[in-house]
Amino acid sequence: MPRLFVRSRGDRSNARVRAADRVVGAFTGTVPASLDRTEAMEQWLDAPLDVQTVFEPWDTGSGAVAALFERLTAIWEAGRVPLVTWEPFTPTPAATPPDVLDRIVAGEYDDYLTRWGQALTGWLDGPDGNVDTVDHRRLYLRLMHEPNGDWYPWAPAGGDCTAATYVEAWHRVHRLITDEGATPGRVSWIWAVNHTDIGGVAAEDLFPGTAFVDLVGVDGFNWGGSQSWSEWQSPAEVFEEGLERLRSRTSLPVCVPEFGCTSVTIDGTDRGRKNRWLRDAFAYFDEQDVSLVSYFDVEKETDWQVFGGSEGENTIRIGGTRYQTYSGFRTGLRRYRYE
Amino acid sequence: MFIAFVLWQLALLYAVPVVFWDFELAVYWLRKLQNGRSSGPDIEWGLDAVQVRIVTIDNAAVVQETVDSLPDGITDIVVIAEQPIEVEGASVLAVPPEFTCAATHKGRAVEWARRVHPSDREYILYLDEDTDASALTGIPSNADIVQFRERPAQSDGLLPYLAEIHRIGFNVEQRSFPFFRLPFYAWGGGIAIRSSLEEDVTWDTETIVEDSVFAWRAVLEWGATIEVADIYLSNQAPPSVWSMIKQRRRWLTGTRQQQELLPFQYRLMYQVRDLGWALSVFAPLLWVASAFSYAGIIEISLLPVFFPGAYIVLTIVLLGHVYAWSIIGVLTYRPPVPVWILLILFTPVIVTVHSLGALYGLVRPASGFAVTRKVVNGGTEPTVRADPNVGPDSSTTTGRIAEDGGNRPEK
Repeated sequence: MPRLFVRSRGDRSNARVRAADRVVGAFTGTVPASLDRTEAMEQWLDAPLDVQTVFEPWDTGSGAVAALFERLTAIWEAGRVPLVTWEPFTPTPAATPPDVLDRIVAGEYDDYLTRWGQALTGWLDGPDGNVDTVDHRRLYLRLMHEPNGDWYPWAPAGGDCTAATYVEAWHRVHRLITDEGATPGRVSWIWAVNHTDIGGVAAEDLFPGTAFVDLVGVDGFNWGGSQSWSEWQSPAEVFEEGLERLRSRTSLPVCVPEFGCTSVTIDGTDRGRKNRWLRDAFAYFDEQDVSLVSYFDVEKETDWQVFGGSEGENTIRIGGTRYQTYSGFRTGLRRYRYE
Repeated sequence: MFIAFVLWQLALLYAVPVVFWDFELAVYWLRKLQNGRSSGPDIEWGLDAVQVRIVTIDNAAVVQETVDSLPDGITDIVVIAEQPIEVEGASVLAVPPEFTCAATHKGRAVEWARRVHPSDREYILYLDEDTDASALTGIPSNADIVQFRERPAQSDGLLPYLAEIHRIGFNVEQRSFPFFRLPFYAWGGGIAIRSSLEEDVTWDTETIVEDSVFAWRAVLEWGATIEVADIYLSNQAPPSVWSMIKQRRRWLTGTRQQQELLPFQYRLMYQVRDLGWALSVFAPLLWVASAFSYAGIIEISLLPVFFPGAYIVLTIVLLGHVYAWSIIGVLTYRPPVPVWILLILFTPVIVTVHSLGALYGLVRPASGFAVTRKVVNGGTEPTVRADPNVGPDSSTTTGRIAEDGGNRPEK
């Protein structure tokens, strides 16, 4: 009789079916400092995040690579697949030469890349050090993102390089990492562009090719009235052009590895509007068959955060800490994720 | 022989829901020991995450008291009424007479409000129009549906008040609902629903027990989670025995009409519970008499001719449960000593009164709503006129809000 009426612990058999190709993640800050907040975020969502995004420079210093993979292990052990945004800052923006891509192509970083590839392969193998055993791991690797903007030295419009150099550098990095055993299927390479070209270089000219990429992505933000140059944009207004252009270039699955929305409008803060934007964004991603999305949940240029930021619609207290939240994110995520 | 058969049948029929009640409590305590809540124990939503919705016909004075009882942190208060009324501190939405949908009565009103007044708050908290919600501190759970506990206050009649205390004792079974595949019922007089879940499920279902049906659909079709919050919201007990009988009749009728939604085992259990509840009208009195007869206190034998010893043991166990519900109710309420003395003394009579409505609903199902009168300040002056379109036996089931304190089929 008990089984006829009583649910077993943790039984969510009535729950809606998870769509297999709907992966959700977030960037919540540096690891391990952000792990607690990410866990709290999952409690708020009442669901795990599939992916946790991290931003990592090319730090060639002693111990830096090992330290990175320790951080990735912490993410993996928390139940999330790391999405590493791998930025060729060496290791800071100020210290990065404008011709960093030429140097990559010339082999100046080969030793570092080889070490990195070895460490990655070891990390993918898991604690037992064997390929294809139950403890093996996975990783998303977003290399040299937003190259069609003008704010990164690896972008032709931002550094001292060309589109051809960018593609050549991508191929070289891809080969060195893959040669060390981090083969496709174990690592998903994400090529992600800004939702619109800034600086006169077309995203299409920077595409490394289908043999070197597993997912193509569009990063986009609704800056609202937070900047002198910005205005409120709907999710479609932010992403439509970028998604269409990628789809016309390749049939690879599309993702949105970075997105965010402010609550700042030209008339002041409007949290309700941000709330609706978040819900609409997930609906739009679902409609566009976007297979992976990751939210930029950090207050940087403006109040991007949907959990634990300075603004929010609703307050939740988890384990004694109060967090401001936007219900639109939670609602949108669940509708996006479940069939 | 026939009488013996009937006596045994009554006892056994009543024994099934009683055993199930024991089973529910066993599950609750077991899971509580395992800390098996559906939501983390340290999660609480603040008052800013709540929009309160109060459904009324036009009872401005009573609603005003409810609004005034809400803690200061709740600023989003909506009153859904049949006609424009003045309520300070709340937005009043009057349901247009021409609005129609599949839902009727209260379901129709809340469905209209859902459509025209979407909320960015995490939860919609539905309250009866006559609720004292001063105990509210937030939503102490992250479940999709959070059921608050009820604590009816005496209005006019003493007997209905005693029956409510007794009923609340039985209703501790609610605590086990989060661990079951489905809740047996929901109480709409104090229920917080995640606003996104409400959007998905909607109220647009033809039923007179909209809260229970909503909960069933939410769990079955949307995988919603349920939690019972140990926060008591007080509202008025029915003012008279007759209004209580009508109320119980509606509860029984409503849930029986919607049982096709439920899995087979739940339908079966519901049937037995309903029958046990309805046919227990005179059972406790018979059991008391049997016990007295067995003890030689009275000379008329009310023991069945076969297995009289087993019968007396069973009925004493059942009677013990009936008293246990009264005692649990007393412990929950902590009413003045004279009240609990009266309750203990008259428990068999109270069960009879309580079951009459169920028997009425079983024999002659309700086809519409009657309005339970609600009074200001717990006084004796009814300030609400009954909805003239909807009488206790009315067949007019379309339109108009009904205020019946929700859907609480029990026993």
